[in-house]
Amino acid sequence: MRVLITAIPFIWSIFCLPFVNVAHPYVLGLPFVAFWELAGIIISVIALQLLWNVDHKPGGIASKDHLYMDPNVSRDDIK
Amino acid sequence: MDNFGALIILFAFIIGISILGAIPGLKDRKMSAENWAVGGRNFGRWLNWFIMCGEVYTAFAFLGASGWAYARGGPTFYILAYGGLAYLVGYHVLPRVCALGHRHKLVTQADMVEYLYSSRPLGIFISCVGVAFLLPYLQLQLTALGLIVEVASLGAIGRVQAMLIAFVMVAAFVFLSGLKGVASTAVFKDVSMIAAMLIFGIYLPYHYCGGFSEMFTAVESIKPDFLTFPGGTKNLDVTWGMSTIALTALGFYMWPHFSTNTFSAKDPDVPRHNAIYLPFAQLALIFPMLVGFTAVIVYASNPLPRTDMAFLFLVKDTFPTWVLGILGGAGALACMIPAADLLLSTSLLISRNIYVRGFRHNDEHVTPEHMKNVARYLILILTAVALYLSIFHANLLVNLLLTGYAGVTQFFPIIVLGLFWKKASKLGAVCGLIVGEFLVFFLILSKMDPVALGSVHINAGFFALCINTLVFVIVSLITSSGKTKMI
Repeated sequence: MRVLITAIPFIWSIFCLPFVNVAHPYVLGLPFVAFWELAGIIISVIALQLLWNVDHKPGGIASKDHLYMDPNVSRDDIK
Repeated sequence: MDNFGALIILFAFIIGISILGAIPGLKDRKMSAENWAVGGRNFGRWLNWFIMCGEVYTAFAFLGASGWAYARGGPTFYILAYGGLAYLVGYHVLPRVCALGHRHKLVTQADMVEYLYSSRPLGIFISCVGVAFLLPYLQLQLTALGLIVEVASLGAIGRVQAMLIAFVMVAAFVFLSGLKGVASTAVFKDVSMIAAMLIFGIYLPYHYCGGFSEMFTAVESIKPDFLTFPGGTKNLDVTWGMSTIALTALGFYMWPHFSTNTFSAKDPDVPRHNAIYLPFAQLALIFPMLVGFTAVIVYASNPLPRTDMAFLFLVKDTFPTWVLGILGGAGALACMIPAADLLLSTSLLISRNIYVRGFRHNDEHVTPEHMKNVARYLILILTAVALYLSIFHANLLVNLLLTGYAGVTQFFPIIVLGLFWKKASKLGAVCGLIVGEFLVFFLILSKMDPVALGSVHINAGFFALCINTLVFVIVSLITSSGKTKMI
């Protein structure tokens, strides 16, 4: 799930670039390629917020932060 | 004396920010070493956000983005794309970096590599490479500041005097306050930069063309195909754009000063939170580009001699001098605050990883207080070196600067695979890094960037990173010792 959420903005901004490398139509007064990359920033924000929600569910990655910070807890204990 | 107003405003910015930066150090004369270097590891979400945001708005964002738009056109849009992706990388990597810093009291990126691979020589090697890329970046901020102040003061303050005044002040407040000085100034600097970009980025296209789409239509009538890749260039095509976005997204947090900034966060949720809100700052980077595209029309019959001065010259030719003073002041801050952070990180790398771990053979009698004092005096030495190079040998570090972003991105496999892949090995890290850095220097210095693959072009740094990662993985898989500790 986390991999999929992370991949979407990369696909939007990088792999779609050959298909959106056009100036027209202008959107919000910007060339289409500029608008697309600007929209990619918003897509990234949405993806990051989704990742935050996933990580802060009970048992999510964020719940283990204190274990990672504690020098007395070993790698095996965290698993 | 029509530039008197501009001079007053310029000096108010430069002196004001220096006083603001010195306050934490003046209030706490006996600041502990950890407080000075990493802010006591208790920076909250928004303070850390402003520090990280401050590294987005450097001299490049201010002069480079508008200069690229003016000279190159469409390829400039890669700058919009990489930010959001870099923060996604940061969301996954930085919480682990922060936790590792708290767990083992790490201060520099080289500390982290040394710990992960249990190798003091590798830590020293990484710190040497890091310093080699940070010093030209520091000199770039210096040179840009000199140019900005010279233009903004209409020549009343020369390039050299501007660099001397501003950087002596930067060195003084970093000496006194360390990372807390950077943090306290970053807030004011980020707000003034974003405000300047928004105001000029919206006003200038409307003033000269009546709107954004009218401005872009006028640009297309003068230069057809200028607004898409490859724009005004021959080889910055779509595949170059794709590979450059990937390179800069992966390499953004590999600059050594970002590790130190991350160690200052009070818990791993701070970098996670910041990753979500930093892209909003990236949105503002469209505005200097709009100024650059407006300059294409304004200077159509009289091209600018220096393309990276497009923003400043357009403001100079449009507004009264006091407005130029405000823009010059904001631009000076865009150079001073990132330079302060770079100075601090470079001094920490040299004092901790090269001096103590290397020359003193990890002498256990070296106290944190002694290390702090070494780092503080190194700040003064580094400032003097950077000033000397900027004034007398401005081109000496150009080759290192050209390879900067591509060079630091070669740290990506060492750090990210070292944190997340249990089979990553010390030998794999060393082999990958050497191959990656060799390719970066060879390709860029022999003018083979971007690398031509048939009819398409890819960024040389990205090509080197792919080979680096491949070597790292293969060597790690066939070696059985020296595996990463991961946490």
